[in-house]
Amino acid sequence: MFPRFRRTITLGVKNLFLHKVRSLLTMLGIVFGVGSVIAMLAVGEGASRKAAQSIARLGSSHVIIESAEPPVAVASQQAQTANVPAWRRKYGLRAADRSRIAKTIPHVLMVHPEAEKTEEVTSPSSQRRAVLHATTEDAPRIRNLRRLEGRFFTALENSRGMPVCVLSPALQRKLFPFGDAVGKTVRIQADFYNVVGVYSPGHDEDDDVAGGDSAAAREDLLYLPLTTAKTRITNFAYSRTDFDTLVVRAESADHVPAVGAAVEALLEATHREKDYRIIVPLELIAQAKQTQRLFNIILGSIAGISLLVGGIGIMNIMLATVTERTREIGVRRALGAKRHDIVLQFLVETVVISATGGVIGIILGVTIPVLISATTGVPTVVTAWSVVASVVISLMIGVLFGIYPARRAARLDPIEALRH
Amino acid sequence: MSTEPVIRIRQLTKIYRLGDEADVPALAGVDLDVPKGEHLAIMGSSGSGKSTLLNLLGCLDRPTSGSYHLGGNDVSLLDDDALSAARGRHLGFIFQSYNLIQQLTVMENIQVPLFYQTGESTEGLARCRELAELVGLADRLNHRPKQLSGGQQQRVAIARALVNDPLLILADEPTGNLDSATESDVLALIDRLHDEGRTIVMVTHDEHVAKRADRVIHMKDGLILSDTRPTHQPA
Repeated sequence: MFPRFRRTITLGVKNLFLHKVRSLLTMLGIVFGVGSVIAMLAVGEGASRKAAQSIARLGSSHVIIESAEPPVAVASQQAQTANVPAWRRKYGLRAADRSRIAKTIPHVLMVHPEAEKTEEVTSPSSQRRAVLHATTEDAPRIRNLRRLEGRFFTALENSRGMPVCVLSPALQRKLFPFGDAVGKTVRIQADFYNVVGVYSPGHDEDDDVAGGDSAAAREDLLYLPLTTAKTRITNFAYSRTDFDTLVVRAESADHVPAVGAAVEALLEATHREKDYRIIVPLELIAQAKQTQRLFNIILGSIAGISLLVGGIGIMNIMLATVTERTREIGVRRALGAKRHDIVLQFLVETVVISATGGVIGIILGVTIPVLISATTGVPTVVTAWSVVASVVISLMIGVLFGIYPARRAARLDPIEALRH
Repeated sequence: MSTEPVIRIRQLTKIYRLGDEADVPALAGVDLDVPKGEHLAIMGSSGSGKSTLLNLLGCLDRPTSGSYHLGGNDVSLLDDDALSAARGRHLGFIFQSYNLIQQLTVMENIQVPLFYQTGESTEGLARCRELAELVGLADRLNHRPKQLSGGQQQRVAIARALVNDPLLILADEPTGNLDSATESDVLALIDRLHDEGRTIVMVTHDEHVAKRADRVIHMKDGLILSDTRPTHQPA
């Protein structure tokens, strides 16, 4: 059985080589079909992974609350009644919100505050406008900061309001271009601050998206204790908001929806106007997945149509081939070929076409994303399942679109076929 | 076994149905016995039923009624696969237009019938070489049919018809496409097969060709008109 089957395959390949151009053109439909499926899915997957990664960096067990300036119309009305000019009126998240959330909402591990201002930072050799992040000692854990040098400031330094700070690598390079920053001092307004460490807000180690941008890592950031900022830097002291951000960390991702709802209810009850914004990364991930699914369905249908067209092309050519080889079929039948021998012979040819087309398509589909990433920087990920699916689909197309011409060949009356 | 004729046909009929009303009887009850080793020529004008008879003898078609025993086995009621198997095992075909497969070499063409049997390939290869030698084409094994003359192609076809060691060789106007020089070559080859004891049934138009057979039947309107044994004269 086996050598016979091998000979059928050899015969099929030989017949295809007899019409090289025709076989190649027939193959193209499958080549482009499979290639475009893999390449499109790779681009889609790269985009969605990058999105998922940046969302995941926010933390899947977090509920993030941001201060937001209230709508102007409401603000002016409020300002009149409160008899305070709009530009001085406080809004957003207050210290009271932080403690209320921490104390009243179950399953909340901690509430991590952050405030943000832009300010000149001066080193002995350089000066730079940087974003000051006033936060607590929990920042590296909550915000996935990566230690490069030194240490982060401590709880004690925070509670005592000590003049210490941590630089981002970008800022460090700019302020101290010729050496270490740790142990040196920088000046902000009238005070000097000890640089105790360099921490990167950049990527996680498992960042496998090719060509992902590192905008976060290029930012000029300076971390300093919240208490220090509030007591020493005027912008923070007279800020209209107490915190720009509160990161509420739940015990686990399972508790996030409940915590999110509770936070929303609490803020709605305690704030007179909507001067905050609640972001639940977990929900964003779900949304992104939904979008991705839709995207995949669209890509899948386009690819399906192109594969269908390729398959029809194969069927068309095989039908022509059957007509062209009617005499040969008759001879083979006269010499003892059974119907299924003829079916097998033609089926092998279509499967060889579609399988070869599939393999070339895979090569194409794997190289195109690499080229896209290399030239445009768009991240791409070729997934194993898309390759496996393409192989299976192209084989299926071979069988599906080969079976009709093959059966037609086998159903020919040998006498009629010989007379052809 | 020795008493059993290779072909035994009883009241064989074949009716073609054209449209709804007209039934055209191509064979109207034919009886025929062909003993082993006989060389039979079938003659007749077109429409006489000789092609239909040959198709039935070649297991390419099924009779409307009657029986056909090939080598002692009734093949008139077999299904398509069994008929294919019977063709592959017991029959050798020689066609007027040679019907070699163009994309295969001489050697591969001779092998085709073996391909559909479960035959062992090394023995098969040796046998193919032997046959190519017999028909005088041992030096052209890797040629394609297009590179051969008509006579050579027909000799390849004869080798192919012999490769499965058939009970019966069916030849349909084997010299119809050949000029007289190559015709006598091919006929000599067929005579040689006859001398070796092969059973041969040949359809021909040509009295001259038919005279070389042991027995000649003339057909008309689906019936055997005459059944004669020509006095043998050296060609």
